[in-house]
Amino acid sequence: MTPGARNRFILAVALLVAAGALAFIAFGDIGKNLVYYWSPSEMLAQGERAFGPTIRLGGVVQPGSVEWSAQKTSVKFRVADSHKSESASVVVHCEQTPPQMFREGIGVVVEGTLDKSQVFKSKRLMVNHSNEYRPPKEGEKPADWKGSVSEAAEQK
Amino acid sequence: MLYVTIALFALAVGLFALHLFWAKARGWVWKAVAVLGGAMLPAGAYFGLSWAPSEQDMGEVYRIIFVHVPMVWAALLALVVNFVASAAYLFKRSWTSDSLGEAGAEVGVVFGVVGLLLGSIWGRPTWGVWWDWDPRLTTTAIMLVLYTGYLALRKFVDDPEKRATWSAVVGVIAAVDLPIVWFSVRWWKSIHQVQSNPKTIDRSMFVVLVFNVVAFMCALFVYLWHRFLIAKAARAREVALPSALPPAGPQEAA
Amino acid sequence: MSFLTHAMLAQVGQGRIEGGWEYIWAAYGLTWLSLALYGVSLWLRRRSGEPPKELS
Repeated sequence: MTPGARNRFILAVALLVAAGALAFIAFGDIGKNLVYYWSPSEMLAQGERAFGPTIRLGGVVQPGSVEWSAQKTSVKFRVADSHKSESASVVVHCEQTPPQMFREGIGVVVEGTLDKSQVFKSKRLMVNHSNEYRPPKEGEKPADWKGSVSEAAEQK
Repeated sequence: MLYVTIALFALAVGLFALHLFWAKARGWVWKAVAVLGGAMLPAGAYFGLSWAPSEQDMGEVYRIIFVHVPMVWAALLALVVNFVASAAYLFKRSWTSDSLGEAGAEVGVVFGVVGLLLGSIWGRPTWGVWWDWDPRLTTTAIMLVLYTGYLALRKFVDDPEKRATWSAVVGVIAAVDLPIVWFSVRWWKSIHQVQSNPKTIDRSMFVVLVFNVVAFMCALFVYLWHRFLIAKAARAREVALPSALPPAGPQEAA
Repeated sequence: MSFLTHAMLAQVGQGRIEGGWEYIWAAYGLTWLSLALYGVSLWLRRRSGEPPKELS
């Protein structure tokens, strides 16, 4: 085999390996085994297996559920699957000061452990921004402004 | 502003095409691109920092998008150049594609590392953390490790032809990670948002983003070209003897 | 943003990032510095030898 033909053979093998690896990752089950976070309903479906290990829980901060401690050093809220009021949710007790964007209705990912009383204790809270970028609307009532923000977060 | 941006975009693409398809223009095209990029980068920074409106959730901090996104896109493009050059080298041996592969990898790693750091600076006030092992961030870190390995491999192999072949194989395989990085935010749940599109970005912000992307593409082009010339000169010194590599082309089968 | 908005959002966290210019300047500064430094590195490495010969 000439060096040129050998290289072309190598190219074909390398491309096949690359395409195979890509197809495996894109269409295989890897997504089920490597989950970045669980939604509340997914976590609750795990039953007792969810107790103990450090896991990530992601969802939206259920409107009306946020309770700050007196000095604002910790915060309690419910993380829900979606903005619908009937969607599954989990109580989260977070000891970290949340980032500035934290508010009701925004997407969050919390890292921590679920205890037997179904409370998720977390020391790491991340706020999830959507891919929407809008300038603040002038002359809008605060209530409307807040509503539109929640919708934007829902797009997540 | 929109039409000016489109015109500048067309101008830049035209210059790239001219360089690519008209070898005689290669002496001066890069200078024109450098002037264009040199003018657009400060202008883009001004538009990003001052002209674009603030954002309803992120306030001012979102302005980092105007450097983070163009930087990472430029990195990905440079690494795509590396993939094409690697495949081209294996298809038909030439010092041109070998040098282009080297240029693409190095420029891609430089832009990629900076783009990752910019994302981290953005993540701190927005997400609340500098870093998290989410799919997008993890696959990007893997990408940078892979191409750093590619560059290290090139440093350690002294025989130019072996180096070219081996690194081309690595270049083809490592490129698997590029689409994974791109689609990671769609395939898996992540803290990183999915790609924005004109519908999800306000017009005034989108124009500034495109403007900056064009400016960064000009910078990328100039850097790639010069890194390529450096690599080509190094090959020329290494293979000073004409017999070092049998000339490619018709005589190859010898 | 009105005082009313501030007062309302204060109960549920800030809701909107205020300030943060230090992050923006850090990002833009890093961008410019790295582009400049890499440009200098390419300049220093330019044709460190004879000009490129005609290679295939």
